[in-house]
Amino acid sequence: MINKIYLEKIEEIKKSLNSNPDFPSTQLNNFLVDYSDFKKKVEQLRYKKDVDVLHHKLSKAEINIPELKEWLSKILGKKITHTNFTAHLLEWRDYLIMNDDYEEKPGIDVIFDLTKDWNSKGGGQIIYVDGTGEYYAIPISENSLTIVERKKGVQKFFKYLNNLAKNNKRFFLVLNIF
Amino acid sequence: MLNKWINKKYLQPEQFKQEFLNNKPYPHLEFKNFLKEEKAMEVLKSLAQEKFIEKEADLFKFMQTNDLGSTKNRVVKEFVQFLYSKEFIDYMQKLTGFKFQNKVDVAGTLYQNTDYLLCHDDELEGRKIAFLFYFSDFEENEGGSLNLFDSKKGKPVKVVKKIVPKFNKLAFFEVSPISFHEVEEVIADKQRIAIGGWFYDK
Repeated sequence: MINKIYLEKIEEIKKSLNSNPDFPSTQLNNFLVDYSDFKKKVEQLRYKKDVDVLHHKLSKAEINIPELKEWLSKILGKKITHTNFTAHLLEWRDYLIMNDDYEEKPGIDVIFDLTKDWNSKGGGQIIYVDGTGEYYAIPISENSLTIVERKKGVQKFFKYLNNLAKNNKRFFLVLNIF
Repeated sequence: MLNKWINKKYLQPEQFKQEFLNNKPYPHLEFKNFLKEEKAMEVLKSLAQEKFIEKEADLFKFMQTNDLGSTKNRVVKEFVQFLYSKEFIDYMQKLTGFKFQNKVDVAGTLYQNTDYLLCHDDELEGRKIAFLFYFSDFEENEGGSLNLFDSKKGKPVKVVKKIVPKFNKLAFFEVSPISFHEVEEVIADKQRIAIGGWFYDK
């Protein structure tokens, strides 16, 4: 399932993850080899609209990917016991903004992106901010896996999808590890 | 001063106070053709010469001027002096029943296609009334409206009132923990120009 290159290059990935001290992160493109089947599975999940006006408006579903347990344990250097990702479906007028009631504790986000040929002017980026004005926007790239370490004070938001994203759907999965 | 700027039909503020207080989901009011037409036109033309700076965060994307209290533009300055004036502050006090400080924040805003301001309450120490003078004409299906939310247990639920921008409309509302509102995304290739700000509690 995982591209062979990423099964073999564990140490390089760990090194890459720690190369940016402010926002430790790495993005691995062409991550899955059987991507088309997996994409179909994700798109066919039963998404449920979830709205808290002051924080988010988007659709969610759950998907377990146990095949990632061993690999993630090696990359992160700790035993990963669950791989229940939250699948996100974002459409026009969806968003997730920062809100003290939803403050995230430091941890690791594992993000798998399934969005093809996205117009970046349409919004929908996952953006991390550290409260000092510094930010890190994850490039939207289909079949990519991104690992981000969230240090203390780092929060994320999903940029509002404007009318340039009309008729398009943005899919990605997020796993939070604390 | 008031005669010079405000249309005659609005010169008796007391007669609008109950409507302001009774309006749902929270006290607010909109006045069509509030300023004298020629004054509104002058302000619009002069406002176009101000520098608008792009503002973008998780909650919003639009353009804004610096506080217009420091503008060098003669016409804009006159308009801001009118808003700062004892007469206008007294007018707003009679209209709302609130007491205000002499301090008034004033800035120009410009929303273009895809710009928005998501739901928030405007609460910041001392803010009592938020106001907007619109200088653009929009239709409801073009976005850009000021949407007011009702609330349950202190949280916004749904939009129950839409204030559509029209040239020379004044809209204002009480700022409180439940004054949830948004500026709906502009979905037309046109500019939504306004001057807005806050009056502060005394």
